[in-house]
Amino acid sequence: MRILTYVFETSLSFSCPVTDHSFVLRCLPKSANTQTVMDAQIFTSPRASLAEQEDGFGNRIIVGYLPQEHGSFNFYTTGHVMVACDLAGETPCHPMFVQPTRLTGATAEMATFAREVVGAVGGCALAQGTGEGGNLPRCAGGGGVLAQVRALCEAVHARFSYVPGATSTATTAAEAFGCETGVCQDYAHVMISLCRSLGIPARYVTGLMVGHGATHAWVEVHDGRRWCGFDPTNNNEIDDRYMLFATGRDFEDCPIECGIFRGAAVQTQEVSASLGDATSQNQPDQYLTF
Amino acid sequence: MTHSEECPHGAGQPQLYSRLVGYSPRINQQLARYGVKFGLYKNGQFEERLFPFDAIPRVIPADDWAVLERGLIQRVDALNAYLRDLYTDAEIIRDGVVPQHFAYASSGFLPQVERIVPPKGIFSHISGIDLVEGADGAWYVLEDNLRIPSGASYPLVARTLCRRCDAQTFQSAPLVDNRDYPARLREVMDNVNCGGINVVLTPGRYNAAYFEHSYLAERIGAVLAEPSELFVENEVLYYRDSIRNARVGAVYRRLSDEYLDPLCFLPESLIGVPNIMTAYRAGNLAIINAPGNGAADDKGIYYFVPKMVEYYLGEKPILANAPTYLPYYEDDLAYVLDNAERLVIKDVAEAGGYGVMFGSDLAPEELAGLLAQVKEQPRRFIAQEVIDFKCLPTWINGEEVPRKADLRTFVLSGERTTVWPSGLTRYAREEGSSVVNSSQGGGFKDTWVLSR
Repeated sequence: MRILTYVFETSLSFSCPVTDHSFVLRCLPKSANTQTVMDAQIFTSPRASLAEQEDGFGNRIIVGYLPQEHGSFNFYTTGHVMVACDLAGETPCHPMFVQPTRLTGATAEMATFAREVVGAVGGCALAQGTGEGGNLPRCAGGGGVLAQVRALCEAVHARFSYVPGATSTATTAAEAFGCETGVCQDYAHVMISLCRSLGIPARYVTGLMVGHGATHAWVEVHDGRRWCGFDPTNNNEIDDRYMLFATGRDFEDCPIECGIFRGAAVQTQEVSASLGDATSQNQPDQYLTF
Repeated sequence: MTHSEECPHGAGQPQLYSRLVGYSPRINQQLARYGVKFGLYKNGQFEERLFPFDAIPRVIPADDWAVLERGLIQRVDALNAYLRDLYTDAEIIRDGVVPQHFAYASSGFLPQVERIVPPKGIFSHISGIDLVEGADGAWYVLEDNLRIPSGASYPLVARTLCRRCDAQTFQSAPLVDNRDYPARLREVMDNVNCGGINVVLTPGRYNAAYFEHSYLAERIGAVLAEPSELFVENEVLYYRDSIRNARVGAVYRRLSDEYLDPLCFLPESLIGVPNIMTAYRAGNLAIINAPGNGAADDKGIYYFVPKMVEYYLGEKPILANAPTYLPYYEDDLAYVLDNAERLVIKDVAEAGGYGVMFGSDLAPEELAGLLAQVKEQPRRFIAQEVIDFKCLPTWINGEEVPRKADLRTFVLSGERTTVWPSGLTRYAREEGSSVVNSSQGGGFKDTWVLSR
């Protein structure tokens, strides 16, 4: 168990002033089986009246509208989150997470690759797809699935080179798999795609990682009991160094920021993020009881 | 062989409408003058075409209608119950009545609306249920349209013009008046309105059904708006008015789900209303029909609708589906393999008439190739018996000829579920053809429901 404090800031600059700017932000941590949000705040500049909602994936979204002319849009969020991966409770899995999406469809080559990787691990055979009546794929012992996923995580990590700029946010898992390069988003999409091709429910996660100055993306798979996190970019299992913002079927379900405005502006973006241990002076007393 | 043997048609009660037939050319002229058209994109060009009208109506006796009406209400109530269940606890999936794959692989399933229960729990406010009357006299449901079923305005306008041409026919025929469709639609919108005005949202002038959007907006007393005239602030949808902005409580949108909100669905959509989904999610807006309804009207789910009637309502289905087989089930697969040359095989993933293959039209090697695909990917296909449907007498080039026709009925779910006592009857242009699509040159008829 660990108490983390985070700061996340994004500045958007428009090449000419824009109006009628509607936006949706997904940069407030949500409570999940691995983390409890203690407090979190968000500020925007220019000030906008904001509303908080929950989207279809259970993410906290902040929605707003800026009708007036503005040349930049900044948002700043900060808060404390208690992370305890070892205490993660059971969580249900929605069957949508075995279905391919526009960005995560697996090619035949990818399905073969996935089968070869898990074939080398042995373990139990997974049912193709999920069972009827809402049953999730279950292996004897449950650990079988995770051993396979661990092997897939390692295989993706080994296959890929981390090359910023080689891919874009629209790159599909199949394209990234082919060129063997990409950023965390591509690592995550490929791993999700491989898992789903084996019938293992997998989802996309955005969040922050200790020591990483930008947003990060990783993967969660459902082992029949709970969602378990893997970071194929760093070949890690998710531990108390990670804090999650949002989850979805793929990147498109959980963009940190999306907006639409009137004006022929070109948009540039600057992001800064930090995540670390809450220091004793900004840690309220009641947290010390843990 | 005579026409009646080839293509049986029932007693149309010609004495009821005989006077009307002569007015056909005049009614068609007036339809053209009033702009009763449908739009079509062909080779990248937008074209508007007239929708030919045949003055010989489809006549449905009161007893037949009573059965159809009960069956349609039952079917739509079950479909609404399914949508409510699917997007909340999905008990029907857990109980194994609808297999998981068919529910969630459907392209109409929208996870973005997971857990949203629309105002008063109604998902499908206006349901267009397509039926055919078989040669054996039994009605079969061919398709459920729960997204934005169109077409009610055509028979509505045609009825008005027919009455104007020949008032006497309508005085004497024992006919249920159908001119209350706008009032029914208005009631459906008012029932779920969350406070504010009613709006008909059209993608614009170049939409295939623009005529209908403008006509219905005028008739139900709603504002006809294009997306740029609407905006969302503080989880409320507003209509930009020149004097002051008006709060919108219900929107009858004639825009597909994926284009509705670029911040929720397709980000590249330029025609949606940004954040309209947040007004909906907050309970400040009714969207008619609810986004996500495509999960209940696709080809794979159709098979399960009679089972939904039993599951949710505990009743026997009154209306039958066309006999359908799912190769996903082993027994059905065996049947499909044995009888493929007389079945129609449909690819669940395709829409708009694509991926529909008649076994009888395929060369033996093509059929074998298709069946190999069916065996390999059984979940991707459904197979149906080809229904021989009844012909209706139709006046073409100065003589009465038999033409195959279908019937789109409109079921409205307001405080109660009701069926509009009329519908859109579409007939095929060519003899023997069962292609009734307006884009293929078919025409339409009025649909008369008799009061006794």
